[in-house]
Amino acid sequence: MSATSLLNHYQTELNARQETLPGADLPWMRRCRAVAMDRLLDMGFPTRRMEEWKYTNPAPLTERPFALTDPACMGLDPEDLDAMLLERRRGAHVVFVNGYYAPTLSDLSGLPTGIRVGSLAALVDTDPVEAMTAFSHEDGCPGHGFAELNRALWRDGAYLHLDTGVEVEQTVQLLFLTTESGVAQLIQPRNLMIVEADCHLRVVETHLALGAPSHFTNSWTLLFVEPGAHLDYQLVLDGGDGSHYMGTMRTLVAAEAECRVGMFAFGGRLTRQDLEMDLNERGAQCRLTGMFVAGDRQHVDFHLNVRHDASATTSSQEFRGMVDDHAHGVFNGRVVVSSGMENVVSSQTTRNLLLSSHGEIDAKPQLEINSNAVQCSHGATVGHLDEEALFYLRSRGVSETEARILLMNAFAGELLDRIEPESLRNWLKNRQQRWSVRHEH
Amino acid sequence: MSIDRDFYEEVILDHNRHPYHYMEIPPGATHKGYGFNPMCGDEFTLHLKIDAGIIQQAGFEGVGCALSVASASLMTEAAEGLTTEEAEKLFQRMNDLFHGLGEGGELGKLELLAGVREVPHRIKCANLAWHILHASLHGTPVAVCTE
Repeated sequence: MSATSLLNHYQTELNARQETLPGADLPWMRRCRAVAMDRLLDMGFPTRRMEEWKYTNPAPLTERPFALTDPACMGLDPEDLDAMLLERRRGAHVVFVNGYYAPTLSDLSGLPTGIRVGSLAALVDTDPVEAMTAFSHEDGCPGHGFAELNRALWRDGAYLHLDTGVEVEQTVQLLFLTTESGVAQLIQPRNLMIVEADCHLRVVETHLALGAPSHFTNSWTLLFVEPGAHLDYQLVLDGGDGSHYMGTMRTLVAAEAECRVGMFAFGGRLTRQDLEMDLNERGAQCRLTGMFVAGDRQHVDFHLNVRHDASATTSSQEFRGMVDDHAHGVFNGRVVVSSGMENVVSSQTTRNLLLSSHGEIDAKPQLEINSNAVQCSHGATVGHLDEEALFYLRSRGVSETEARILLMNAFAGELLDRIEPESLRNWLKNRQQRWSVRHEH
Repeated sequence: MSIDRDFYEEVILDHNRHPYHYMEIPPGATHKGYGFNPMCGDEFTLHLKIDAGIIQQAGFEGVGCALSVASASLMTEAAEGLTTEEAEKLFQRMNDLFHGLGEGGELGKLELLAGVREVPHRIKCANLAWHILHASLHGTPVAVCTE
């Protein structure tokens, strides 16, 4: 499909559904959507010719139109989701099915007071001023067509606001479930999380599938971490072999606040996660970790951009990747230190394993340092399984298959063993080990 | 209430092989409903043409297991000619029937669907079409629940 026809398709969808989209009766929301659609029509979708898409061909997302669907009756009971929940009894979970909030499948009962959790679409009706925040803070963020598409045609998403000083013990899980369908759908979560001063919160956002859907999830998440707060945000992308995913996460970290972000991707036809991390005030810190695995002809891309816009800020990035068959993994880690900043410490390592002779990994550290009083390090490796280590194991009676799996699990385990909470750690290790067995040759 | 198994299978299978109003979208349709059952793979869209408070025409499209297709076929056959209030009441009665709450009676062929009570994990398949009917009458989706 030509680029113009695709843009026309999405514009037609907006015109047709204008009255049924959230905020249809709010002039600012309508204007916001219209402006975003105009910008999309103007800039078009990304192509390989753009620097930020050099290693990731966006064609799977732009070669055909994805359909918007109507709210649905869903034949799902809470029990059907048991296998997808990290902490069934203790935890709180908010469930979205194909982009729509499913209150009957969600459970927020165990949460303390001082936390508002729910659907952004509902918030637009009940508290439009608060909802407006979800559409702010896009200046300084490199725009691309997918971000505008989300802004124009978003339908629902997770909203979370934690009041000052609240410490939440439970892990809050946001489950985005996609189900197999006759139609390839466009699912566009728009998420807003505000963690006020001195709070502690842990959120796990999981993208999982029932069956083998091939939908396109185009998500936008805005996180505010206010002074002294601690936010731990873990993202698990496991939408299945045929899934398409483009996610953008924008995080603003205030004074003495700490934000930890983890990203874990398990294949998918095309999975790309962009992270824009702004350390805006003194003492802001972030720790980013993550891992991707990909096989067959899958493509995964982690695209990070950390900005040190204040002194005494620290950031670290620790990522690993494993690629098999003809798959392609990309790690792009950018760190920008503005001029005049002092006592900035930034480190970055990316370690990757190529398990076949046809796989490809592109690891691109990118440091833009405009100040002298800083300490920044980076390191990138791409390699094969150690032949000597394999031989060592085989000479001790371990089969070749078993030996390869052991080494793959050890490589991943070095990172996964440090993940909190325990439920997520076990989930990820289990999932990665199943992947290893599938790719042991 | 005992159900003749052969008659049940004959009617259900017949409605699955030759479903009424399947892949027929009534021209000038006014109401629409969409639903799916991901554990089984059933997915339907229902189109209704409602005029003067009466369901003039009904049609559905989609894919699903034999039971869900048969239920949708029986549903569209029963819904045509009913007022929206009657259709809503019929949905409630069928919902009760599936959950073993109602007694049935005067439902004619539809009572055969009650046979699904013997296979509880298939209730959602039989129920889906009726929930879609309810949703399209009200313009709001309702999550299907077997409890």
